[in-house]
Amino acid sequence: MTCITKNEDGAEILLDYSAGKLNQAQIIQLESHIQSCEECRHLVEAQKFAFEALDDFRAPEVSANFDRKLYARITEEKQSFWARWWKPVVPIGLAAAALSFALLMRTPDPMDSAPKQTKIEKADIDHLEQTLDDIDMLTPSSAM
Amino acid sequence: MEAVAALERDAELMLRVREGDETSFALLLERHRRPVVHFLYRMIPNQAVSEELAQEVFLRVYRSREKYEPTAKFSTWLFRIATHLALNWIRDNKNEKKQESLSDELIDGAERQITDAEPTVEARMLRQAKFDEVRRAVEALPEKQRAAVLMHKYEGFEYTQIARALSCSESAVKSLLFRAYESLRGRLAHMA
Repeated sequence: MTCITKNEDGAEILLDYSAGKLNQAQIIQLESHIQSCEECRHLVEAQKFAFEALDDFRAPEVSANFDRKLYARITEEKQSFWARWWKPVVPIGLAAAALSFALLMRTPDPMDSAPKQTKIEKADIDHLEQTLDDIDMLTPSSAM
Repeated sequence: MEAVAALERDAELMLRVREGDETSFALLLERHRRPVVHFLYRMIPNQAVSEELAQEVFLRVYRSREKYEPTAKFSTWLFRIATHLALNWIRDNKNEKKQESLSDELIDGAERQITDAEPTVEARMLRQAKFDEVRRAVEALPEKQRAAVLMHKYEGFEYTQIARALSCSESAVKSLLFRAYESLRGRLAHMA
């Protein structure tokens, strides 16, 4: 095996070795090489050290209310979708229904006017006959 | 084998979420909550910000559930969203000096959580010093190098996965990683 620094795959070998991704044959080849190559040995040790030192960069545990906050955001988003799209439609729909109902109630029925007209005419005629009878009674010839 | 099975389960769960199964979403959250939060914390060492961004990641997953297609590994997709949000946040907050002091305040809180587990004061101080050193070394990396290293080191992602998460080529990822580790070797050598 050639030196890591002179090998075009050297960088990848170095990274894979520190990440534990080399196969057994590759590990044996590399470890055999670094036994006799001081430069590569220092590089591999430095890389291994840096890779393991990253373990000290520990992250804190996730907050206990993480899920609650997430689900609250999901719910809020669903509700705002409802408010954006459906809320205006419902009152408009109700208003349209109310208007239609009101219009139906106000429009008069053409069939209703005929009987009323007949009743009025009959009443007028009766009144007229009564008046004529009254006049007859009041004329001097009828009194004699 | 186990890893492959886990990946298939993720895709299967997400397909169930697509069909409206909320329990499957909860299972995915349970499985990936910690890695995503930790990734974001190491990108932006501020617990409040990292958790808020992590929630945004899962919110986006939930939002796009109906369009989900298992064309890539679920974790790759998840970290692609997380990386995108982290890089945007860093870009948008680069010039805010206030952020540095807030960051320090919240780092202290997180550090206390991490170091309190040590048995002696000396051990705690040593852990604290190491934590500070490594955190600063990682923070000093350019953002894309930082993201690449975090996915490589803490998630064990393959180069192809990191490339998809960062929307770049595999050779670009290898270059990012090599330069990142070179910087880290330089900055951490004195701790050996």
